[in-house]
Amino acid sequence: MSLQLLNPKAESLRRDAALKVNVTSAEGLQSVLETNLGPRGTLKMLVDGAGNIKLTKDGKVLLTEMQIQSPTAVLIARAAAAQDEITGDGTTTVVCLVGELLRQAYRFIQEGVHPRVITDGFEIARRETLRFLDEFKVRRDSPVGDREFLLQVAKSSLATKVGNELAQVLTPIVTDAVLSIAHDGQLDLHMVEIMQMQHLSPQDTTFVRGLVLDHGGRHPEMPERVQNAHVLILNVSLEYEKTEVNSGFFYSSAEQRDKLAASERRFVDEKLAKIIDLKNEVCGTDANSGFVIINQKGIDPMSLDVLAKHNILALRRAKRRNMERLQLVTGGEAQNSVDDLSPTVLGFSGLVYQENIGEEKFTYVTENRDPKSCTILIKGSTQYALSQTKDAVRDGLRAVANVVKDQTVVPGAGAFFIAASNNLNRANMAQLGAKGKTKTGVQAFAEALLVVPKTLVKNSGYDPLDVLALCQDELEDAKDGDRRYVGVDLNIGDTCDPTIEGVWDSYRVIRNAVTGATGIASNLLLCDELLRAGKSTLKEGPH
Amino acid sequence: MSLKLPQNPNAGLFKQGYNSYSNADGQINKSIAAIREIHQMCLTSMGPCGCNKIIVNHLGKVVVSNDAATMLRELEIVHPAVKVLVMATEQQKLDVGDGTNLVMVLAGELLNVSEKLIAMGLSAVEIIQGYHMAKSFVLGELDKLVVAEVVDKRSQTELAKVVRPVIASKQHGYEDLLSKLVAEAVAHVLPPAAAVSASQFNVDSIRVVKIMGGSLADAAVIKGMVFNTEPAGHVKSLPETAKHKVAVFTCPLDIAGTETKGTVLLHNAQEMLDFSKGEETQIDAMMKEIADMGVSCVIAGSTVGELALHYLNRYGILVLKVGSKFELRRICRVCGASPLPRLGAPTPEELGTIDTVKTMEIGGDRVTVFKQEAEEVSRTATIILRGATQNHLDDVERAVDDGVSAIKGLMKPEGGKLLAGAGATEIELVSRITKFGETTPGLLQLAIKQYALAFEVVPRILAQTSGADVNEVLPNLYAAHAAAPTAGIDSLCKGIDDGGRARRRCHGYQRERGVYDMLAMKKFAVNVATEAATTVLSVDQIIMAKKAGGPAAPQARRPGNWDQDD
Repeated sequence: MSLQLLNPKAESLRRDAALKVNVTSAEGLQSVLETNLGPRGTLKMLVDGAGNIKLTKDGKVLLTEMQIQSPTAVLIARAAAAQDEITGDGTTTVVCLVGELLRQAYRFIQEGVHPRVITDGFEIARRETLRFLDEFKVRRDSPVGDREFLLQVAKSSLATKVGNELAQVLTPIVTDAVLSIAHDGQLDLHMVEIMQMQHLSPQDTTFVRGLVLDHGGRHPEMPERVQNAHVLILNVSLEYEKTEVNSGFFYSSAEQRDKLAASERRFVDEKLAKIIDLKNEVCGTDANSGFVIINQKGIDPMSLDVLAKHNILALRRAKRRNMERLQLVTGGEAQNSVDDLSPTVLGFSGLVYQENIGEEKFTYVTENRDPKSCTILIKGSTQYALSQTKDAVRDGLRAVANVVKDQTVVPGAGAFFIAASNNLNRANMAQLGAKGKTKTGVQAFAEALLVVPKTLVKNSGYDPLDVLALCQDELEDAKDGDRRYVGVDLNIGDTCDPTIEGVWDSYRVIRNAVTGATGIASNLLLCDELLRAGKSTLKEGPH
Repeated sequence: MSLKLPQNPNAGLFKQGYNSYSNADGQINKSIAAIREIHQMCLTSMGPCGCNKIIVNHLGKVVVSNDAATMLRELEIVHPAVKVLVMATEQQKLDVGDGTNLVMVLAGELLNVSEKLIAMGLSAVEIIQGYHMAKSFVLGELDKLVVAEVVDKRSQTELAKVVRPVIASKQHGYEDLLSKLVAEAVAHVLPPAAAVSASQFNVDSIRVVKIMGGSLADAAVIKGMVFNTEPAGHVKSLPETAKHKVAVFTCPLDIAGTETKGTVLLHNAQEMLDFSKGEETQIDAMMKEIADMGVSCVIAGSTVGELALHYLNRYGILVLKVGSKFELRRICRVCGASPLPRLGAPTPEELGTIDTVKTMEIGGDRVTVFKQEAEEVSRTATIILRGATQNHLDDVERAVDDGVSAIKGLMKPEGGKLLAGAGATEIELVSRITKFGETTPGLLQLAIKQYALAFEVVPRILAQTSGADVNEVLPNLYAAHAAAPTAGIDSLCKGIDDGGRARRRCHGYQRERGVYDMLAMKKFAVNVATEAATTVLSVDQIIMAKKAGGPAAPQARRPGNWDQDD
């Protein structure tokens, strides 16, 4: 045996073997995820260690919930997860693309092409594809004004996450949610509250122009329905606070103790008095207007009682994010102290009411003047139905938001991938800078792009090559200079024009997916050694 | 030294201990087989003649029941596909309260028949599509099958009509007795306003108290509340002649304490004597104030100090300790009192009134009864159940709960609509869905027809459990329904008669016998069952993580809202 360089516990794989492991791992991950791609993809059921069930066809969820061991697969999964962080969609696309790029490249490597040459080809092809993407995309100025168009975008994204019936319900909800928070070019998706209610079915999911909080008044005598409510948004503790230092009382008679107990309450009582003064100032004796306090800190039972006596609905321990949303919804200002309360800091809501579902209480702040925040109320009978809908809503929101930000869309249904592949095949290689064996990289890339439409067709139960050939024929038929959009129709296994069907993909999703997938595939190809450090145990002393 | 080379693409992809079952390995068939197992178990418990099951759960508690939701909850099922069905039944329990077994049986049967379809070569997507089409058809058709409607939601006989079949399926033989009790209790609670809506009926306002001993025939309804404890002081009952004022305190009935730690600083013996004296006079003054307000009954949500109890006894005030916050809230509702967070004399508005407070001995237990005769305040009614064993009492309580939830469903705007029970509706649906399926072209037709067939399970089981010959009853039933093609109401009402008569006459006139199902319940059940079945079908791969070690994670969150603690 030759001299050993490595720690005897370390594992290593070299050259061809390393490459082979990389390729098979990437293909393995692809084969797990590919069945989920597209509107006809099937679901996966994930069961975690505690036996909880999760149903999903979202690549991101799958990758984060599954604990993947193979180092190559982890690398791809991270890249795909990053794709989701940036764009909110396209994780499965990335995984499929990486797997296919490696598969195609491996063919040429077996024929003796050096991986470096292929990655050079990939790089050229990527540049050309992105250039082509800019040419292919469809520009829409001010998409905010075009609700019909945004509905199509939302539908395209949602259809790939949930069933058709549910997608129909969620589409207008998601679109309206984005429209209601988009103003002056600003768009913060955090301002859409996503609230879950475990009852009824996902089809009953609703959109509320206002805010829904998942708690209610904590006193049985508080009003459950307040009309014309003045809303005070507070961040003031209304309970007895212990001193920071260690302190104690000394007393020598029962009266003294009573006084001490009363003085402890005084601070809170003073704060309450100020709030009640404000309430009397704005409401007066008007029976038609009410007063609502939403506090980020706690309110103790005594204070609740005082507030209830004055017919004030008080909610405690609101989420910080909800304080921001409440300001947008009601137009009030959050207060950090009760010292300078004035009617101007109050928000207004036409109707604040509570709803009880089983043991859960929900408070609706609705009928506001000009709400700039909104709530999507997800319903579902089971935990898995809720989380599935929630993931879909989240992706739908991102898809619509992407289009609003980009003001550009790409025709969907695989149209871009077919056209881009066609473009690469017909391009003048020399002009692109691909000479000699580098061409193989471009070829592999062109072939790999087709994996998306192929998988889409395969998942719907049709013959991929058959449908793809139809698409390519139709593209060939197009006259010069005549741009044609040809996608796959998954319902009948034929070609379709996505611009007419209203199937749109986000520009940034595709752009990121192509860039990300190429990067990671090139890196994996250029790996010529896999090393795994041996586990060293500290117990072993030096020999 | 080399890495173990993965042999097939997915080996080594997941962490060790992961199990993955894909459709290529027949995952769906295995799941259906597992579901069939539990389905068979629930089958025999369905309907009034369903058999009871004894379940010993992991804590060694014995449960005797034929309620599907209870059985499935105690069984702690781990198979993920079966769990989907169990969750569906739980949802039915939560939203409707009844029909849990129907969900389980229907969903199981839907999957059973889909197995045939898969064997025929249909893909899961097609089956799901067909099921969904059939489901929307059924939901529409159910509206047309309504045979009766409860218009007067206040009459006791009408209420009993709805409750009776629900209870009959759980406690066969006692349904008349129990439904009368439930109807009586509900009638006490309903507000007198003409229009009754769901918001005005709270399931919480019907309480059940179980007391061992006696028999079910001794069960009674009390308009008010019954506590399992007796009053703390000497005063055990209040004279029945007058109305009594009630004060409810959520704070301890004791000397006021400070939040910060306090230390008594005494300089000499005299101060110590004065201190105790001072405490006594303080408490005395406080209790006197309460007594001066005319209060004759104090309900304490927290501790009652020895000293306070002494003075309360001296002023002849009855003291009852109620530990649970929810019970406290309920007693407030009964008396119309508002809970007081600080000790002191209550204002007249904060006081509640009660007609009777007395301590009774029922069986071996001493209970305190709060009885209200007044008409105006929002009320609570309590059903006192008697029985020989704890298991039986628990089972009866579940039946009563189901009956009460049926009332809740009834109070909903569309809730008064009733379908013919005893399998009559299902038989009618079978033929209607089949007809609908025949008009649908393509592969979906097969799925829709099988969907229809699944509904047959309900009458089949009803006949089977009641000991009738299924092969004879079912054809007769179909014939009876087909005999009147004019679709008169009578033809819709032919269902299965229970007992020995079933052999000779398969169809009693259910309208005469008064067996009804609620439309809302059936709709929800069909919806939930179809959802669950299609969910199981739509899964193409199950990926299971290694079971986590250590103690089991808490199954459910604490009951109530996260903001509940005070």
